[in-house]
Amino acid sequence: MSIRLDMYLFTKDNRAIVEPQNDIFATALLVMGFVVFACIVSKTYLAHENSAFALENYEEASLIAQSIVHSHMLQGSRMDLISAEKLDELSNPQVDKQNLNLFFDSFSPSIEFQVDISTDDGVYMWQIRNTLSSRSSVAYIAASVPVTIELNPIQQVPGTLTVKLFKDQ
Amino acid sequence: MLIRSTFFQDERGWIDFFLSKTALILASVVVIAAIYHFALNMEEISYKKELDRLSAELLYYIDNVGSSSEETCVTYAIDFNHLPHFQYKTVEVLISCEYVIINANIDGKSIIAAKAPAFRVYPYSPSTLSNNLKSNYGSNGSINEPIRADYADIIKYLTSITKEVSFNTSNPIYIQKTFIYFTDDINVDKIGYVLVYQR
Repeated sequence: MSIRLDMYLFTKDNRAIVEPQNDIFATALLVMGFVVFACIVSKTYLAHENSAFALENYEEASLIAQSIVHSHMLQGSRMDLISAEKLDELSNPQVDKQNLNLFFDSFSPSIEFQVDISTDDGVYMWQIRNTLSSRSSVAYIAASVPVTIELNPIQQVPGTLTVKLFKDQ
Repeated sequence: MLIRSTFFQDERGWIDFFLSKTALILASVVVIAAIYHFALNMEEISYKKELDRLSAELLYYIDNVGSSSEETCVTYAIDFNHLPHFQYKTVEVLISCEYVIINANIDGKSIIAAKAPAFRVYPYSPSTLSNNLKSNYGSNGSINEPIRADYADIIKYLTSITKEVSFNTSNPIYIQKTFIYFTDDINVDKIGYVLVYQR
């Protein structure tokens, strides 16, 4: 009853107090609409940038992973095998620092990455990291490829090689 | 006292009218300027995106060739039909050891897209690489003539003689994977390079 009365008073109110300011309300609404529109467009653009950044760097990480899989520095007794012995050497920089440097120097100095290799049963795990790297950031894009690891001349096990590419966004 | 009472007793509403209309005009100017800048920014972003797409495409070709385990060569040509904003504009491709830079001039304003390849790049032809290595080390770095030097020294030398090379966008760009062989008189090892050049 009270609402009906208010509406009645509003439509029958001939004093026109609000009417001269109608254009100000309309402009305020327009400004608010524009701000909301700009916010939505910016958010969409940022989301698109993030996904494009991830996709682009995923491609790069994936190409690095493929290159490492076919690298002669990790090759086992056959082209398609990765030698566990060579992984032991590279994951332990104290053993053969020269080889580790050659491994990372094959790539551009402007990129930083680390390589994680593990057998699918989780028994063996290697991590190849550049000892000269000073990056403390934890943001990275990773790409994995399935590999076959030659543990010894008679034992080969399936595993995964993951390249973690560190990037500043 | 007299002024105050005149001000409050004035019921013609002119002050109210002028104030509200001035505020309205100012607000309209601000809104129109904001929309104009927003549209300009959107246009610049679309130019930048197109250049980014072009640099990402060229980078993909370089990285793809770089990831190959064998010596291989591909040809890349910029297709301006897929770049509607740059069809009749000057686009410059600059390649150095570390960066692929695409620079376009739009109405006197320079727009740049730069990306870093994952592999070592040498922006010269195989014959230039061979001649440079031969003149500095006495061997051309092929499997038959490995260089008697440390690989780090070879990288340092090639980096020091590499400048930013400008490529003509109307001609094809050749991207070739090659290996430089080096030896310590006991073992022969190799390091991969991606050569980017034009004939």
